[in-house]
Amino acid sequence: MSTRRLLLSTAALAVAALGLAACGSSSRATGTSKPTITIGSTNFEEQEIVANMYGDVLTKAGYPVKVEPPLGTRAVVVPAIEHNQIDIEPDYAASLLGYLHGGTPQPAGGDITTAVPADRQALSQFGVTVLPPSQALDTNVFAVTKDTASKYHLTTLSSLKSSASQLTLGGPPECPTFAGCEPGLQKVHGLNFAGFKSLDEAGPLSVAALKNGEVQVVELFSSDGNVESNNFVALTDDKHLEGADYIVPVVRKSVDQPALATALAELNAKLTTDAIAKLNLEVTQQKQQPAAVASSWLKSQGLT
Amino acid sequence: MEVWDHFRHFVASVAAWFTTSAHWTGSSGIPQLVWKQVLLSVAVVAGAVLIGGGLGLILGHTGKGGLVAVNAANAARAVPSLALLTLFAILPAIALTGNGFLAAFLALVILAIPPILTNTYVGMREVDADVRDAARAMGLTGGQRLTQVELPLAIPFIMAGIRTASIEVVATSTLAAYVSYTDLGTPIIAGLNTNNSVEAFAGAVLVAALAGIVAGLLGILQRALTPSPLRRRTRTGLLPAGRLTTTGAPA
Repeated sequence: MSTRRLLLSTAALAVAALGLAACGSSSRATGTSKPTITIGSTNFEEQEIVANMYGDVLTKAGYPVKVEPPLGTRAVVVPAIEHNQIDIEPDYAASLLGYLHGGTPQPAGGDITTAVPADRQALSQFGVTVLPPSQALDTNVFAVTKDTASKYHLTTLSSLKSSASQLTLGGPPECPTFAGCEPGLQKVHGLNFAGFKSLDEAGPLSVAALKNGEVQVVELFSSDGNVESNNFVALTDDKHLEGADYIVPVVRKSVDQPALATALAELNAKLTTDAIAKLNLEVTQQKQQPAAVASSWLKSQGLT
Repeated sequence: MEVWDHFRHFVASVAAWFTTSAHWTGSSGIPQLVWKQVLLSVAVVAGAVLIGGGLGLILGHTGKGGLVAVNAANAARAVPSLALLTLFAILPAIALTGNGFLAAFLALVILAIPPILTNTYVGMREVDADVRDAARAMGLTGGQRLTQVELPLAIPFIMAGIRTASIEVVATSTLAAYVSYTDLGTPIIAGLNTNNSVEAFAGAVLVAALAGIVAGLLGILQRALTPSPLRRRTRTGLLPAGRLTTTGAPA
């Protein structure tokens, strides 16, 4: 290619790049008009449902909204919001805190009143903040069948102490080394199980393994609806081993306007664990779409 | 430069993972994980050779019904192994028997049969018709023709099928970790679940290395089992597939 052609094409590319950058930044304007809100989430159905809820209530509040398709794991979504590629993402207060501290569960994550300020502090340098949490708690629970509960008189995790040595625990592959799982159960509740079977993370395999008697205690999530729909018993975490994983809106400070905060606060007041559990079941068992499930629930609650 | 630094740091972390002695000991140590993966893979390939290879030999010898069997087997390739695996592990009849071994074995055998069946059948059909005629004319029975003439000539194809299936099985048996069978898939899945990319990558490296070793070993085995006349190629590069000599020299 001749030098002249090379210079011309480089110049053209530079102009195009500048043009694209200008287009990109104009939708992030922090002026008095309502900016376009880009909402992202992981590919976990629950977060997809909540992201769509955010989109619908913010649309009602007069914002132009774009709900991105699921982006991947938290390792993709949180950097995206830190680097101004999305404006809002729904996350879990304690797990987010652990992620922001290199993957180690933090003591502040044990209580929602300490978790949220700690999250804010860790995210502040990126221009990101955390709004007040919803009522929906999605944390690890350890469940048993009704029969097991009555046989060994189980109500809380501590009540497993005498029978644990006869029972097999089921959980995700990282359970034997993860602080919130087997080591935590041992340290905080004094439980030493007879054995461990690695399964999926609170998915259909875990439910089936508990039903089939392959394991007697299994890790599930408090809001996925599996405990209720299978008549399992979730043992109470009486020593607060698991984090206060309430669903919280993580938002960029640039879009943290009163109208937006109010809209999300009204949503969070009605977003309870039971509510999201029912919606999760509609997606996982009745195969409905997260967006559809979110919008019909919001209508039924009078939020849209 | 930030990307390069990040990369160097990552490589150093992975090396550190491999040099941590705790990762080499105990029931979740690397030797144990490798052993379980090998055990499952060997069992699966053996089962697939018995079923797929046996069927391929018979159909290839008689020449009947092979196309139907081959197409049906290849349709089975389209079934996603992970879905099958989870399905088996949920069924009360199979569940997590043998710590997930049975569910994984069944799902993987379905994956391994198509390449072995196809290649065995094709290998047998590729045997020169003249050679079959000659063997029949020499008075060899059907069984003798199969074992002494057709099978040795079909070995290159058959071994290629077994190699393909084995590498697929060794790599895919990683999924067995989802159903409580603790093998090299365990560090990969655990690492992904906890955002520990070092652990996940280290597991992947181990699986890749194991698959590479298996490929190499089976290549040696393939050479060893191929009748020596077939190992040599003529100056034109063609395999003298129709020529058998006893001295081993090219005919």
